[in-house]
Amino acid sequence: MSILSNKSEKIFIYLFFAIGLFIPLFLEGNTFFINKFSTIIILAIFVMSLDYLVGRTGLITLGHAMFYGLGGYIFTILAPEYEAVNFWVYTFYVMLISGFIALIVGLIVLRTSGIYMIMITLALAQMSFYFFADSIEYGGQDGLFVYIKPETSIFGLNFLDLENETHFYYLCLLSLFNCFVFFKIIMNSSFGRVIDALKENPDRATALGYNIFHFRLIAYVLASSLAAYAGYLFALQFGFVNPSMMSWDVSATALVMALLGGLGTIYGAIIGSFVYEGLHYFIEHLTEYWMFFMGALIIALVLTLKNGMAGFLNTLSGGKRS
Amino acid sequence: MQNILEVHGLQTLYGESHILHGVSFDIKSGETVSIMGRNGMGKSTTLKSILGIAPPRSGSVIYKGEDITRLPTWKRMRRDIAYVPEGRGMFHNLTVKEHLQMAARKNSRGEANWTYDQVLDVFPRLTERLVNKGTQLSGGEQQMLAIGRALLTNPDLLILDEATEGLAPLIRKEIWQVIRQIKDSGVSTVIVDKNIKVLNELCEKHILIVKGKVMFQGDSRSLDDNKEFIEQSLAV
Repeated sequence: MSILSNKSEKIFIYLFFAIGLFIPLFLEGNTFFINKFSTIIILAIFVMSLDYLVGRTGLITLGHAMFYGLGGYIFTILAPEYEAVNFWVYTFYVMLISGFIALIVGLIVLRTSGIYMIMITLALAQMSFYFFADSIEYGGQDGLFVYIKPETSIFGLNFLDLENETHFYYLCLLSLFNCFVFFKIIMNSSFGRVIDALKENPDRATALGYNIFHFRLIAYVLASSLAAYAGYLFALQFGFVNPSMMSWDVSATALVMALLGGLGTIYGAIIGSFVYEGLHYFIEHLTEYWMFFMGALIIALVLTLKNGMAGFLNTLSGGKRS
Repeated sequence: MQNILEVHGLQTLYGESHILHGVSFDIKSGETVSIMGRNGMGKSTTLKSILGIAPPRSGSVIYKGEDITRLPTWKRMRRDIAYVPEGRGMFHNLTVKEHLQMAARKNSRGEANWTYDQVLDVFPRLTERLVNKGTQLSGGEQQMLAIGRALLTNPDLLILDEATEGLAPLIRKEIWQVIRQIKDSGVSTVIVDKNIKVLNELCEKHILIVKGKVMFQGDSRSLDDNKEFIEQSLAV
């Protein structure tokens, strides 16, 4: 059974990853664009994790960037300053620790829902923002720096050099692919069906014998630790972390990207991130007031496209509206 | 025979309005029991109190000898109770197949007497509709799916609230046929319905609820003996 749910998704995913694989060959030496794509792919991972939470689980959060920032901070705090650590080992640490934090946070925030959950997640994210912004130990507003990038050897084999932009790009692309497959497998599992059911009607799911709190908590922990992974990649790419990664507008922008792409579609997160960042890039070059035009354009897109860009692609490819 | 369910003096309120005034009855293991009464008399509330969806203010629910009155709903269901709610409760974002997938589990003893294929054998209509969303089905198909979904949790006690309400006579007949099959498989069943004739033939025990009180309980013979009183209580 295919994990891809419709024709447009299939076409998009095949095309995206095929182009993604070969694009560095055409951009030979143009590190600006390779870096730009890496950044957007990292963002897409972050947006995807948020999309699962908001679009599938029905938990609306404005504090998801807290985990994005934490991912970066956990790495820079844990790793020794002048020693190359192993990338995969630290991936495990970052996700484990952020998952544990998400478990604690989830136990608190998941007792609420709707507007209350939005407010409490926002409050917690702002708290951690100010914690890091005011801490002398963690660099305050300037944050912390990554002086030496990790090495990526597995059992002595080393394919990737993270100092190399193209290599780093491929690592990001691979991460995005894994993340996508991971969410699609979850969505198609019985766990995913229960998640869908409880989003639609929590009482009914309870009456079928499911503790919806447990299911929401698991989804929250998974999505949060993937957001942290994206933050970890961000820290590696730019060589620093600072509190602005956790700021509420990062969460809000990601939410806009998820909406633009098509909430709950998962692959829509990729479309949303690329479309948003693409528009941003072009409009920024046209006018100083890019935010004004960008805002107007997004309002127009969200109003005209039902189910976002993914829904639009689905209609184009002749699929039924779901 | 042992009691699978004992309900003692349930008093349930929705806000200020007092719905159940001390409902008590018991159900023996393997028994099929009907709960009758006019609309608004507290039949559904009785079921919801048993399941913890509308927790009673006082009284107790004893299931297989264990007091489950204070347990959360999902834990009660995990003790092998299944509930087919009034209105069927379909998920509009899940297909028929996904509905069955998400519900399927072994019972607390690790047995799976009902499998996906068996449910489709009982409801062949659903086989043709596997990729349709739950809300794209006809009323009868929705009801079949709701019952199929409940069976896949492999329950010892099945609670059906108005399973044949609003269905065409032929479909009704089909549903009653399946309920008969479930009864024969040994599952204890509680049925809320208005069709006295079928209930009389199908159930071993009957409970009549009027204004939140049990006004009659007995077997089919005593139901016949009290026919006049019961018909009077059910007449609109």
